[in-house]
Amino acid sequence: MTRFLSIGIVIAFFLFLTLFLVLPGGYLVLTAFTNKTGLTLEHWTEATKPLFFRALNNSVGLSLQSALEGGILGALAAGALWRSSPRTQRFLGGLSGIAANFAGVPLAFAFIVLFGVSGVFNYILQGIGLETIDIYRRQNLHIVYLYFQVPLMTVLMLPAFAAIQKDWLEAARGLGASPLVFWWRVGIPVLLPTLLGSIVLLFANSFGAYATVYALSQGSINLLPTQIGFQVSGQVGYNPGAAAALACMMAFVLLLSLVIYRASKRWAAKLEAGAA
Amino acid sequence: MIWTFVRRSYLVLLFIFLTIPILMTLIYSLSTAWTTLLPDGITLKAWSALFADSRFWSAAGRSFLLSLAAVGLSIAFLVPTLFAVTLYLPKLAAALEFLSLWIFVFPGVILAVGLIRIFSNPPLAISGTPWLLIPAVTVGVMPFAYRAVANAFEAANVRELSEAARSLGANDLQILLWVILPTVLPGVLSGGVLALSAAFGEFSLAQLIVGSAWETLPYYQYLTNSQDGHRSAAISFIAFAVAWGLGAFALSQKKDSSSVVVV
Repeated sequence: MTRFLSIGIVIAFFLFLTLFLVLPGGYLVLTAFTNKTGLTLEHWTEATKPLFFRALNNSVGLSLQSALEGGILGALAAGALWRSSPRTQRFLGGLSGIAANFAGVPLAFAFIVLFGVSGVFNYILQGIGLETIDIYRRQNLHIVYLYFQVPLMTVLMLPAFAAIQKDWLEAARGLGASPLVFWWRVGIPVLLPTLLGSIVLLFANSFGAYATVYALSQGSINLLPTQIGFQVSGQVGYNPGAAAALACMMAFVLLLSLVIYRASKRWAAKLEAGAA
Repeated sequence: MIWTFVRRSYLVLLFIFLTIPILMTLIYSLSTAWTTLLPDGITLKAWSALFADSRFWSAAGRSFLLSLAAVGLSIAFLVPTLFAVTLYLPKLAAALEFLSLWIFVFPGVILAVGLIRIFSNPPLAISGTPWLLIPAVTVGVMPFAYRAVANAFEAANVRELSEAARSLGANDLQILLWVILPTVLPGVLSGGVLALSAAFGEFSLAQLIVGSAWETLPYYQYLTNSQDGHRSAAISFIAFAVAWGLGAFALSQKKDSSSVVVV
């Protein structure tokens, strides 16, 4: 009897997920490939219009840039933390974990305070005779994204660094290897799968980000997520078919990133098991 | 050594980078005007205007309700589900994890597109109401909630506990309510706090599904951004404080330092 009850809850849960997650996804694919009369590719032709193509192009560019910058800066932070005391590691690791999840309207506004038209930092930059930074421009958007990309990379890399035993470094030194040789021959190969996988995940993180850029620019920066939002809410243009096609495109890129990230994790686990 | 110095300076810079936007937002919210290196004066005007605005309180109340409902719902689903999966349906464990991650492939803006199209027509015309927003945000915070519940289950040895309880004559419902729930609850709650924080800041679903019809705090801030910068800074600071407060609480509850959902 109670066994039926618990299995009933499992079924209810899967039904819930089907209704609010699987069905919307399926409906999106359906919308992207059909019109009133039947199967069609017209929404995909729509989706290659210059406006949408520029959005895709901008999104890829921004995501590549913020993933590479965030990846390098975050990996260096994780490396610096690896040599630090457990207390520092816990403190900055925790701080990073919180910041990595903090995107959206408040973050956008914080950067408007810093780098907006009357931004505090811009007064400072002006005061010392440097050029000011216009945060509303797409070219500068990556600065805002770094606020969650760098800490995300730090948190993703910390466990990978933890797999490198500190006495390996001592052992390598005892055998006459310089730290540089150690990192080149041992450290980087062990870190490589996590490094690459995490950068892919950072790419996806930026590619799907909507709230921050929307709040910052009211949508005037043309990116894939903002364009999808527009085409479905009807503020600027209304084209649900094209929105569905664009959303499919985006979901495909995100799915691919997720698969690559998961594969890199298995690769890393195998390497670490081999090294230990 | 030079490398120790470089390493420490780098970490100090990281700390400054993570904290300065919050600090500046707070100072800005307290300043009269800020046109040179330092604020011209200090005032509580923006804060008192904000606290006097009933629209702010209703928006904050809605966000609070929304995050409690979404996180409560996800935990209410996940605890019995993981219990049943652990005991009877281990083959479903992988499917469950897969589904909980699916939201990474359908972030808010994409999910909203599909949800709006499905739920705009009868019999389920709930688009534009919190009745669609709550389940949508529940799905949105599912990876956080799933991690929290799954970690608590892993730490609790659910299978052995259940077998021990059963050998003492307890049935499944008794086991779930009196043995498993009290054991996993602290872990679930400390992990669930992160889901709470994510739900509280949720913008894309709220904007696209309900918009002004059911104004949440992030959407209220978005709408009033252009009116008064100092007041908006105050809201930003509140959002930072909520996220950092909840995050710090979650961290203080566990040993490792990762509060990020690692997929």
